[in-house]
Amino acid sequence: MLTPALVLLLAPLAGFVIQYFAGRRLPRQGDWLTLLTIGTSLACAVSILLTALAEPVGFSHTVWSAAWMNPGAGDPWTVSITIDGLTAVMLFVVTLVAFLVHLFSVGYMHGDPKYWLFFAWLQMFSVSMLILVLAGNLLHLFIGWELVGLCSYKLIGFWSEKKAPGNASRKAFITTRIGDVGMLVAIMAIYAAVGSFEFPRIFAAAQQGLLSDGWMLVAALGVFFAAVGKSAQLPLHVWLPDAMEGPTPVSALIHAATMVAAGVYLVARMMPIFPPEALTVVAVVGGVTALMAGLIAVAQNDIKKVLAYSTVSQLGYMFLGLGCGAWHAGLFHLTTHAFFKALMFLGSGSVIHACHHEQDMRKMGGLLRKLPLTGITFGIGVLAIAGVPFLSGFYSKDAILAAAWHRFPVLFWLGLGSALLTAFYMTRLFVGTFLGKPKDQHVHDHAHEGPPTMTVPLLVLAVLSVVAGYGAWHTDLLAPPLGERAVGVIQRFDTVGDTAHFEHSGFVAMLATAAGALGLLLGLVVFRAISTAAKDALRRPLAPLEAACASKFWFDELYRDMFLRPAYALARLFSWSDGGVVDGAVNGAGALGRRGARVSGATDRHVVDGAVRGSGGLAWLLGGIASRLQGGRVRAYLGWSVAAVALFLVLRQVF
Amino acid sequence: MSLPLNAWLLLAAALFSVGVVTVLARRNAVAVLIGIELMLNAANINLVAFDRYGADGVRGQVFSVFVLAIAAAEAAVALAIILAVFDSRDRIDVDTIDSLKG
Amino acid sequence: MLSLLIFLPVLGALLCWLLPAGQARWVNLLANLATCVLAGMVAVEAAGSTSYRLEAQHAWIPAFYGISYHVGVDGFAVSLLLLTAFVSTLGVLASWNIEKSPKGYHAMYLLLLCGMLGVFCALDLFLFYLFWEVMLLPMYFLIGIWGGPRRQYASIKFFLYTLFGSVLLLAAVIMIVLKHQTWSIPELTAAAGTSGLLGGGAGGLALAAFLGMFIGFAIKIPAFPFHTWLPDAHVEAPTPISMILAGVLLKMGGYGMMRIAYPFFPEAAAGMGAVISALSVIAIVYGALVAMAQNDLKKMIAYSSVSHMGFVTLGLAAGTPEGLNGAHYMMLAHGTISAMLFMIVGVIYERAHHRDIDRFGGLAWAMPRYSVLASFAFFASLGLPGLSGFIAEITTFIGAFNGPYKLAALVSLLGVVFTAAYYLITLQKVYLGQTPPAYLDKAHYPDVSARELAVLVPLALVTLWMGVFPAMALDCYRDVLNGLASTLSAAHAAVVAR
Repeated sequence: MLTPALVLLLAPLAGFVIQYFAGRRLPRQGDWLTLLTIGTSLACAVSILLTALAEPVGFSHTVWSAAWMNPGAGDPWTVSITIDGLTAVMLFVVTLVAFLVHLFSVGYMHGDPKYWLFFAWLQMFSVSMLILVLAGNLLHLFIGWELVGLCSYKLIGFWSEKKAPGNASRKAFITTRIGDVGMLVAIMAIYAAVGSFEFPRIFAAAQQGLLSDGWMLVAALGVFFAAVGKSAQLPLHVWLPDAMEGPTPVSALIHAATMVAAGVYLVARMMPIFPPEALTVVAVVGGVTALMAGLIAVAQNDIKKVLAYSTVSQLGYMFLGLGCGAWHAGLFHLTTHAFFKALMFLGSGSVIHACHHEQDMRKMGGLLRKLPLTGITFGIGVLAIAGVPFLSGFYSKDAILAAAWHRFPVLFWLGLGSALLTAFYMTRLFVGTFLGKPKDQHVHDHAHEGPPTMTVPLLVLAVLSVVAGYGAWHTDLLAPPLGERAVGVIQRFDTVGDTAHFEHSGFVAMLATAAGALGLLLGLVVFRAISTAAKDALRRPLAPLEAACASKFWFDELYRDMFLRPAYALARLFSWSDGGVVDGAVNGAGALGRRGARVSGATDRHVVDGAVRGSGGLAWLLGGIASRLQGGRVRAYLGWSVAAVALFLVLRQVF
Repeated sequence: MSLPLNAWLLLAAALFSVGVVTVLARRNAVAVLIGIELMLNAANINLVAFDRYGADGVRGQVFSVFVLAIAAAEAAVALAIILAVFDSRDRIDVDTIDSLKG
Repeated sequence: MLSLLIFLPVLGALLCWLLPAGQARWVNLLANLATCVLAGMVAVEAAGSTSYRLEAQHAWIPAFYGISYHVGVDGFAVSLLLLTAFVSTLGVLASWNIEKSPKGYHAMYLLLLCGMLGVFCALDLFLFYLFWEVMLLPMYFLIGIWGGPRRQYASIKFFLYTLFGSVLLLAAVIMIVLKHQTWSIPELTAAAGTSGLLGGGAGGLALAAFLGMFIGFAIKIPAFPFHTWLPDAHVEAPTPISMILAGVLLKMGGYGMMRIAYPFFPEAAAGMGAVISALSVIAIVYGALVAMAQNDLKKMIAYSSVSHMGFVTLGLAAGTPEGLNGAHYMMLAHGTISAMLFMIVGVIYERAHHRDIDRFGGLAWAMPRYSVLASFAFFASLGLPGLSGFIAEITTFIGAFNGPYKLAALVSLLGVVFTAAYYLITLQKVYLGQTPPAYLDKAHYPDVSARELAVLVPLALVTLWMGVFPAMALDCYRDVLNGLASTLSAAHAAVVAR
């Protein structure tokens, strides 16, 4: 198991190094090399997945662990690779989507001046994501966590010569970094109590009560806050829609399938330390985010923005599932969502590529005839995400709703509402893009299907979107590992209700299907069947809601006024005061010293020196008087002499 | 024919006083020069008088001849200076000449 | 061997003075390389050691409480010796093109090096103080003569500030020596135990002497609110001197704290822990916020130094093994990263002749290699995993949280966000965006030269190495600081019990 895991990790790392330093000089700018390395990783991931499937329940191995450093007095901090069912699934999802995105990018990024660099960063992202997934301890996971953030920053801002991608990448990094503060809090709290970052030891400590209830809640909420940042949940969701400024393959890989799902992965991984209160928070945030993002998605016109809000909404679903204690359901949805959302993003990339980087769906329409393959696969994605029976999304979404039905009925209705919305806005997207009449003839005329490198990934993902829900693989692999079930808080789920029986609620399945069908139907009616006038009539009563949705509930404006501006103002104030007050105090002390020196100096000058200078001054004064006599006038001289003689004569007479 | 020495000394003193007053009171450089000549000649009278009433020899008279000669030379130099001053300043008012002022 | 290490630069300085001006830089480089080699040899001997190695002691002024020439290094000191030799050597390369009286410059530079090495080797308080002051004068001249437009103001400010600190330090030293009748640092440390010199405890004379020393060293670090000399000194100092200043000089404050102030007065330090933690948090957050408002690139980096050095005092105040180790790791990491950052500013200043962040833009296309190195340094400084800054930050955070002042650790996390903010804003303003055509002129804006690469790349490699394999650097000094940590925790327990 160690060999495939190491090869899996090191192959793309080598790919990154070679590609970064020499990619530009390689033939075809090295795209084949990166495909090779990520393909190797994929092969390793498949082998690990097969091993895991052969030994399904309780599959969990720490395959490698090494001391990394030892800054404390206790055990050294380690880097370790742990593989269990969840890891195996995640490895497969990450490497598969990464491979397909690499392949897609060969066509999509063709001709870009930084073609080689794009692949280098894709490789680095794959490495980082694999570090995150393979990590056997929290610190190691955090390293991957931050590195995916860096790669996300680099790739969102790939076209950084334009202003918008630069802003978006910065926003993404800083917003997720706010979430990372939560992660740091969790790391600190856990280490202070447990003295280790190893997952098994953390969970054991939680079980034994080493981690006090208060700190456990703090740690759990910290972990969740980090996940909120990374997975773009309320209130840190604002960066993900902006991140769509990045190249579309990046959006598919990072901002749909893998990195944003890392938050869900993290919460699932750390679930044994989540007390029920924290799980409630997770569920509520997830449910509210799902509904709110769904509402916003309805009012977006940029196809990538629709997909972005849809991603936020679906991630909210996953958190809803986890928060309801349905570990399996949340992760199952993560997997299926990775397939169909990556499919839709790549499909939108294909559309954007065909339309020469036009992303506004108001200028599209009728593209199905031009892009049949893209249109059909995209349609499969829409049906899957809408929860149409017998496609993958149906099973995973149903599992989540079933859990919510048992745990938090209120949130169940929220989830159901957003299921309806999902179907509705996805229909709007599909209808607006692929059906109807072309709205911009010029765009339409030039549209053409991409090369096979772009269509093959779509086909593969479409197949997976259909079949991923079948079989028992997910119940086997995504069940909480036995070890954790034995020691961890997952035991508490059993008091809530066994995860297994969530999935067999016919009533919930019916409701969910009905909601999806209603959404699809409504979408078709509103955007396809009825006239513009009727649509306007329909829109009028909903105008305030539409305005709120279109402006994304004013989160950006709110944050700008509440946080950014005050932070800048504070920065400027401090900067000013640093020169004026802090430095001023020091300078003032210096000035005081100088003034004191001046007083003593004055004493010195006037009293001591005064005596010395006084004699000189007297001489100066007398000299001044005497020099008056020497007016230069000869007669005056003579007069003085005569007077003097006269004086002497008089004196002689007197004495 | 025997005026007392005092009479000559009084004459000389008067003449000297007239010279001093002339020098001090007049601004005209030529007048100042004349005043100086008066004082010198007052001294000459004294010298000659002391020689006449004094003891042996003619030393007093010789001194006065010297004084006369020096006075002539002095007058020549002084007049030349006055002329030069007049040339450069168009006036010979001694009060305006104060370039000796330190 | 240590004496050779310390005084070799003096020999070099003499040679600089004797030889023609054109050869001064070669002499400087050779002397620095020799220092590197010697420091490496010392490191082989002393790395990881908790006892003093390569000790040498000669009586000097026996009549005055036995002042002696006493040098020696343990693992902790040797880590800083290595940093000094490394940064200083690269600093020579950075000052290769100094044109204004190169003789004087390089001689001063070597004298400065002597002072820095001496401080880290001295085991006699008198000798320590002597080297501490020796280093001050060359620095004063290097800023005051070879600096920017306001160099005189800056150098005098630097000098007065540091001198003020020195006076407090001297007062504390005199108090100690009069009471304990010895100048020897090891003897005094042993005498201090877990209570402290001058009668120990958290009050009275011990507290006064501790505060004197603390302020003396805090000025050097520089800790809030004694930091205002730093931005001025950095802005005016020439690039290599900024590198030395940030890379080594600031570390002497931290070294003084960990070698002298804290071991001599553990209980007084524990008593002041809350205040020092609070000041550290202010330094971290406030420094980051002030950095965010700067428009001068160099000033921004200077304030980021203030912010990062706040981690050093934060870890120190916590007194836990992780805190101390993290604090020292921060010193080493910051030493290399900030040297790199200042070199990066120097490179662009040489080309653009200004440092206004707002006036740059789009350099990534004009100078790609330079921009990659710059963003590397920025990310290293903001604590990206895989680079040394991350190890330092996370260890310090954990150490601080493990200590008695948990709230301080939590609040200082804000610094992480602000740091990311100002680095990314700067990165975007300077390197990203549209490239103005002026920057594409290769004659005025050539990419980094081979010499500049020779400065930046080793720094980058060390940063990467320290981030990926931290154990080696950590193990060099860890045991020494773990010993200090146990002293401090005992002292803290004693203070709390009282």
